[in-house]
Amino acid sequence: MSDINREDEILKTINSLDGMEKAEVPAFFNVKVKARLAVSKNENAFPFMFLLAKPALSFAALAITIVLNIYMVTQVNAEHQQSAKTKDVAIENFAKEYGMVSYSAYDKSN
Amino acid sequence: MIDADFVKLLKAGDEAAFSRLVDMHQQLVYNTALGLLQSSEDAEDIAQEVFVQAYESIGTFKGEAKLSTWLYRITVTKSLDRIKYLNRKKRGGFVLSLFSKDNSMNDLPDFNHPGVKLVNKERATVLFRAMATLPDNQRIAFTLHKVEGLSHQEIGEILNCTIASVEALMHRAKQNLRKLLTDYYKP
Repeated sequence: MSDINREDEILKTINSLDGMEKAEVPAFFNVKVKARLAVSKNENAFPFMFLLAKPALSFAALAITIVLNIYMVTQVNAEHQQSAKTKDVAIENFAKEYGMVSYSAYDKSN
Repeated sequence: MIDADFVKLLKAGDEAAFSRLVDMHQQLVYNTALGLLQSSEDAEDIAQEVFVQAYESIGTFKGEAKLSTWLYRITVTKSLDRIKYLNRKKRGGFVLSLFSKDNSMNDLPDFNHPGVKLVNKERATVLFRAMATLPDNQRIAFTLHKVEGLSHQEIGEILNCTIASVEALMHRAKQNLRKLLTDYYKP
């Protein structure tokens, strides 16, 4: 390509958009915008809903809930046993203190 | 209906007014996004985002500019954000950019704008590839002028700058395009 031809080609390329027409907007554009707007409104109403949409976060939340539940159940059981023992000891001490210990006839120490 | 009354309805959340806004300006928004993004899928997505944002932030519209100017601004901003996002997303984009020549238009995809005359299709494809390598402001000014057919004054209102600045941008854009095309058509 000669210099003159090249220069001409460059000029034609730079001006190649002259007189171009507008592209057609895709079909149902207005409907799609309204649908998107509805989704956006919903997201704004529940800003943390997007967290549930991610499976990794949902599973992590579920795992934490299960672990917390197991911990609570074991903790309550342990406390329940502990309080039962403490209650027995307290009654025994009270009985000793006020001499209300009833010895059995079969008790060897008497 | 004048802009002020229409804006009042939009600010009041009138759905019919919003629907009318979309009908009136969808071509403007879609074509601007298409010219900048050079992809019909991305352009449609951005155009939808523009109208959602327009609905949500119409309260901040002061009426100092025309409604169409305001929509152009949102479209340009969103399109540039998408371009930056896509450039970041390209695998190894940053590393490759360190080793590749600046302003290289050879590795860009072809884009055939549906509105270009058949005689100019091939040249327009080359021009779009060259436009994609221009700095942001030059790219916006050139696209708005050539694709949207806006005057320098209208571009100045959108970019918030003087007519002289727009002329300077256009001049630099043409110089850069000439340089790129000279390289491209080199034997």
